[in-house]
Amino acid sequence: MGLLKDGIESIKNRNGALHVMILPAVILLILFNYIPLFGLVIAFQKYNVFRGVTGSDWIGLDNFRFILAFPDIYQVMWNTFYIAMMKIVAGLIVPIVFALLLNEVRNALFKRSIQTIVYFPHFLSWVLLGGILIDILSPSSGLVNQFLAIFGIGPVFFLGDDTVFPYVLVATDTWKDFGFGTIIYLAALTNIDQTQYEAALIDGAGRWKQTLYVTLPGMMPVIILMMTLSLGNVLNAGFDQIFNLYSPIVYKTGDIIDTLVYRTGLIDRQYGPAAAIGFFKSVLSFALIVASYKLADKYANYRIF
Amino acid sequence: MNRKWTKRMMLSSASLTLVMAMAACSTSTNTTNPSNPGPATVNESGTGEAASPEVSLDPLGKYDPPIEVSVAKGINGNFKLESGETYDNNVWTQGYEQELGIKLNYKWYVDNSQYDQKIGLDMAASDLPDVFSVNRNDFQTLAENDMLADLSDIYRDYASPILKSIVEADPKSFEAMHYDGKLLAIGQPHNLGEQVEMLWIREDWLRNLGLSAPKTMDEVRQLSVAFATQDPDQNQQDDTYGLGLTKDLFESGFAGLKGFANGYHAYPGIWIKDNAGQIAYGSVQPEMKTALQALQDMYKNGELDKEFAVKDGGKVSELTTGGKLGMVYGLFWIPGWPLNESKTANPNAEWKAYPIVSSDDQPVLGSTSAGVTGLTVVSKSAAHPEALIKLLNFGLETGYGELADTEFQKYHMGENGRELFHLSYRALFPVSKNIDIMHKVSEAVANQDGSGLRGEEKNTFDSAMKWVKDKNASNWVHYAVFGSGEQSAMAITEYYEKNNLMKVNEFYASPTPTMMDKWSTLTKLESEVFTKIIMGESIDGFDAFVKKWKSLGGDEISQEVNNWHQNK
Amino acid sequence: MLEYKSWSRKLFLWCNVIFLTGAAFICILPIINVLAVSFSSSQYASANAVSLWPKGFTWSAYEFVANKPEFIRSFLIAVKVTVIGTLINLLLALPSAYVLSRSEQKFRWRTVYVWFFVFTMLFNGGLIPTYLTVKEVGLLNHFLALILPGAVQVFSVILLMNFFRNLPKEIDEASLVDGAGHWTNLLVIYAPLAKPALATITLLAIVGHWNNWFSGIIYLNHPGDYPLQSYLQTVIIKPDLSLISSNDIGLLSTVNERTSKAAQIFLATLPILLVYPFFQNYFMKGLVMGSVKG
Repeated sequence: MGLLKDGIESIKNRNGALHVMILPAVILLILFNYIPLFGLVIAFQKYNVFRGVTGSDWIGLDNFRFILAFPDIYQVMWNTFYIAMMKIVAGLIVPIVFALLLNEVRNALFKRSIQTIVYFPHFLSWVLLGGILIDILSPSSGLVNQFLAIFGIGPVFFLGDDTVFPYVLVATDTWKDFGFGTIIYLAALTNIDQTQYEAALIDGAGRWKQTLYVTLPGMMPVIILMMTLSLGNVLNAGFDQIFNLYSPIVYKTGDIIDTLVYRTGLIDRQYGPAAAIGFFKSVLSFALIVASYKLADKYANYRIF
Repeated sequence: MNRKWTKRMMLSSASLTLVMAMAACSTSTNTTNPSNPGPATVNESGTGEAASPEVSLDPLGKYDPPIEVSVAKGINGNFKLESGETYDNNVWTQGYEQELGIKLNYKWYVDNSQYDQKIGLDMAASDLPDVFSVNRNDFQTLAENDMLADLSDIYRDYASPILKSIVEADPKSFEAMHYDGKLLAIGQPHNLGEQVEMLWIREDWLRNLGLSAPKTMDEVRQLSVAFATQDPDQNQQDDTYGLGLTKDLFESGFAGLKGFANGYHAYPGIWIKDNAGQIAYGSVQPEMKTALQALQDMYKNGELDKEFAVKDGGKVSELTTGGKLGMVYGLFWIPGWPLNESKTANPNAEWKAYPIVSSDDQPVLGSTSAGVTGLTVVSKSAAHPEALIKLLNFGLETGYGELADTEFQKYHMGENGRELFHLSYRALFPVSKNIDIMHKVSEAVANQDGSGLRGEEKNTFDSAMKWVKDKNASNWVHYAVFGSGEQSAMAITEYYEKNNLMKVNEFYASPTPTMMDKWSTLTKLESEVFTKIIMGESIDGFDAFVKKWKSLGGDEISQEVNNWHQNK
Repeated sequence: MLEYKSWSRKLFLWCNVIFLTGAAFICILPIINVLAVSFSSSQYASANAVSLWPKGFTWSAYEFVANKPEFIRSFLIAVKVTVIGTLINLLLALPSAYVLSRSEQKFRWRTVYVWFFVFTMLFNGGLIPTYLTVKEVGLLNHFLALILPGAVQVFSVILLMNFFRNLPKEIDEASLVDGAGHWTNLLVIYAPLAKPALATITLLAIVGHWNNWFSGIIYLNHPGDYPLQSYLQTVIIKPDLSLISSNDIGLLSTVNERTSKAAQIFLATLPILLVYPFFQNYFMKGLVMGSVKG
């Protein structure tokens, strides 16, 4: 109610401009994001492509039951969650640490070169990387195993051993994308008030303390934001990557919801179950983000958004 | 960490809609009807109706005034267009318009790999072109929802004799084009013999070791040991393998293992009649255990690539190209790829095909399946459903019929061997043409005289001669498959067919209800267990697998398959 | 100012350099491999015998690409889509982020809008409904279908919003005293201050548009209209060995031409690699806040 009054008032005061500013974006979001949301209901239908959403039968939670009836679904869901969580954690820590280390470098040319180069892997597709990784990680001739052999660590069949496969996924994915996160954190670093460093130095803080008390707190808003947003990926273990790297012998720990569903798609166009899974993922992610937001608000008095 | 949400969500649902037609093709009986000259010409004269086009029952009758037909097509991205040439405008579209009065309107076309995706979107938007192709499952869905035009009468009235001979070449395939007794699609029936694997071996390696080609499975095993241990490429390095295989195990056109399993009378992946006369799934029969045990021994012995389980066909081809692998089971076309690369890398590499062999005195039968490639259908709302038949007739007459003498080079294969038929809307071909071609071409190559050949035979001959004379690796396939007489791949296919050495998949209908739900789970289990057994897990795991397979849906599915079979 | 570097600090700096160099090294290796393959002869590439240096050096892969009109055409289309798309992204993101960064007290609608935006990051109707919507709007087969559906990059907006929120409050008060309205505030004060964040989201937008292969394939009807990555997708896809019929034999030898694939992949990646350092200027510049006069 108060909002409505505010809205009307806005037209009178300078806040009207704000509504106008955001209008184009809102229209586009309504058009291309909110309107298609009607498709979410497919999750509850036996979707017939020709009868569309309005003409297909409602089957309540049957699509969900169908998915849950797969013999390995719980293993697969666990794999998805486990891999996704590890990727979120690694995907947060590695770029932050890297950005901090890079920030210590004085030589601008060196800094820029490194920063550019570590972004490269992001642009290679998993189709391409799959072939390369099979070679690099090969137990017989791969570079990594040759390196490990120096330390007497026996050859590890990275892509073929289901005990290490999930970690290989996390490591390679982090390697591929940490350059991207580094950009964001470096940009955040430049935003920190230089005078704070000077103040800390005067107080006798060495570089390490400066990092702890000036740099990290200065980056905190961005870090928390990225952490929260990454919760949206809690069930996205990375179809593209896994599809190109997995094989039957690592199904046990490497099969995720999306690959399982993909293989089922070979038999029929299973729109209903696919939508059900998408719906489930969305609801879970949303719940987690809302929870984080409320927690931060209540205990740290900090609004993430 | 940039998560593009829209893209991700779209990807997960999109990935579902990527249906790859994995249905293995299967058997076709060899009934070639020579094309009868003179299509029936029964011209119906319109009675004073100037507005509607005159529809003649002539299989190649022209529409006047011209009509428009909207189509969608999946293209082979490897085909190079010439400048000025597009799929919308080329010698075929001009031919269709000038000769048949049909203007093809390409609603869209896309690389074959994305085709199912795009047609799925058209289906969802209820905006289908007049004529388009579908995979088996979409065919089922469209038919169930009454979206397809009934072609039964149209086919009977308009199809030329050549078209009829192709479409009806195999009763199982012809049946697959029907739904509920009505003909709803036209497709290319599979040639059964061509689906059977053969054994490809490096001849020069055999010579180096003073060995001859294997005639029994025992000899295959011995040869594998020899290739793996006796340095057949004589480079003083222990870097060769015995037999090739991929992570897809039995299901790969190159380095598959069907032929290997067939040697032990095992038939993975297809349905066969068991001793009790019931239809049963090949992968759970006891003979599979023998085949798997053999592979396990070979793996332990170092004859197989220890990392095969993570390698697909493309990755394994690096081994044949690199001269590390000298024996693979494969289909007739592998000289086209990847063995051609092996020859480019090493002109002295000689590959030769041999028939698969048996482990005992029972003749070996090769697995194969009946089916149809590409079901082309007509939308129920299309104004001129018979247009499809005419398009197909035109393609066949210019390629293999009366008009071929003058038109073949214009439409099908140019002087330089350019495969113009890729520009047509749909190119069907006689189901058993390859063996005939092989005979004619081989004879011509032996005499170095191709004067008596016409059409595709002439082009194949020219290509084979380019190999013989210039040793051009990309032409080698035509020599190896068609031009080397008794040594050619087609000769082996002929041998299989003449002696009926085929085990045909007994099940060739659309998936049963339980299959729709559970088949992916069963195949996942099968791949996992089989791969692990080959890599060393106890062979007793096979029995446990069979039990699990049955309880996870295998029994239900077998029941459904048998019901279908009884009610045929 | 004296800067005394202790030995531990020196040691740390050296280790740091070594570590960073090592990291960059493992990141650049695959690209070097692709480059090497692109300059190699096909028999070495097919046998996977090329690691970091070309074998059988040849330009033929690049000649092949130069003669492929599809590659060049799709490259240019990608440039067009990227430039226009990024511009639209920025024009939408900047004002939106500004609005979302207003304080709760002064603008209560703010929270509503924020959740309105965030919600779209998590909930998606799926491919079919989105496709149908695009169709209804009449954008099928139009290049704007590659731009408009994703024109509001919510992630970037949130990032920028966060950046704005962490600017000192004095800025608003200063401009308020000067009697500036929101538009002036945004364009004259905020925009210039946001350079690092703007550079970041511009780069994200460029990369996003450049790499997007999916939209082209589903929304466009002719491969001739594809942007670069859509075209490339069909090139790098693995051959489906189960679908080969005798009609396809003649084209088999063109499958898996690794060297031409490598050349195309490299050329497709090159523009981004060149664009990126250009933006680095903005990430690297520090901000001296002392310039704000209260």
